[in-house]
Amino acid sequence: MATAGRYLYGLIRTTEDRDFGAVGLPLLGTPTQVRTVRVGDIGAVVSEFPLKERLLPLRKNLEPHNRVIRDIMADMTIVPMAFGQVARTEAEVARALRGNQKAIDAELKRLDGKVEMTLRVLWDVPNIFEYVIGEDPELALVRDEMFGRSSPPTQGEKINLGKMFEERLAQSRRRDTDRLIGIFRQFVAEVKENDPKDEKMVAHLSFLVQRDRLKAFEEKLFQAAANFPDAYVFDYNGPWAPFSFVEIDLQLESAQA
Amino acid sequence: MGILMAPFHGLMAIFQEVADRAEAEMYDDEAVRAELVSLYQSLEAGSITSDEFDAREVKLVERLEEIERHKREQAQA
Repeated sequence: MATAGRYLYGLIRTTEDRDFGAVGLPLLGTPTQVRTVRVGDIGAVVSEFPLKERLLPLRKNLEPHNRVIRDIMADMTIVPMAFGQVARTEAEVARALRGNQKAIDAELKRLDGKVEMTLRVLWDVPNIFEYVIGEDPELALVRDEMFGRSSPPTQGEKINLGKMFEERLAQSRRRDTDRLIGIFRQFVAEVKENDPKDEKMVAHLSFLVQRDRLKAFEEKLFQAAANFPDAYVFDYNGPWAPFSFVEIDLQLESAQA
Repeated sequence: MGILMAPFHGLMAIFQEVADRAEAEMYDDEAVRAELVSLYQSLEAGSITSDEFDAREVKLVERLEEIERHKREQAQA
């Protein structure tokens, strides 16, 4: 029995139907065929996906999602889709392409020849509270005054110290993030700030970089890492397909309700 | 001088990059997410087999789903 649902990997420019082989998300343990659904010169890269199946972000699904996009990216520009997009039918995919033709076209142009680099900068310190206090004499003074005298600190004082700490942390993040963006601005097409998910994370940035600027970008990265204080760790990754810079929403009816 | 970590295309990186961008708010649960991360690390370090990983991963991800569903229901109530 044919499977109606279609899993979406991304959008490419192509004037002919393409077949990328049996490299898609597994169906009953077997990789599915990846090919295009085409409207004019725009192709949606899809594979079959049964609608009644639950789609979970498991390694067996995340890996092929990433691999299909990465392999296509080696040969052509792809507007990558976030993990988990499923259309009910092939007709729905075609409808989404027709309804968004101009936007997709603009997106393919904007992302043409560009890749995404991600940079996570972390404070590599055992205790972030101690580190921030060590960098800030005013804060250190408040803390020493509170804990150095004979009477114990009040609840209000503790809350106040906590608030000052949070403020300093936010200020440091802002200052360092602005500095980083300033350093890389001339080497990249676009920058996106992501929320730091960890207390020790200074900044989490995504850069949209023209392929032929990658080398210059990486050189700058080495230089920047060398110029930051010892406590800073630069963790960078890429090149990826420009996931963070896709603005288009195909508005598929959510097949995975 | 800061330390520069070389780009890394292992499983962990794929998980971070792809899962971060999956429109799955279930990864907001930090405790379970941390467990998932350590599971990936174990697989990469070779301290668990691929089958063990799969079995434990499904359980964790299902728990994440459960948490997410619960949050949604609470938001609606």
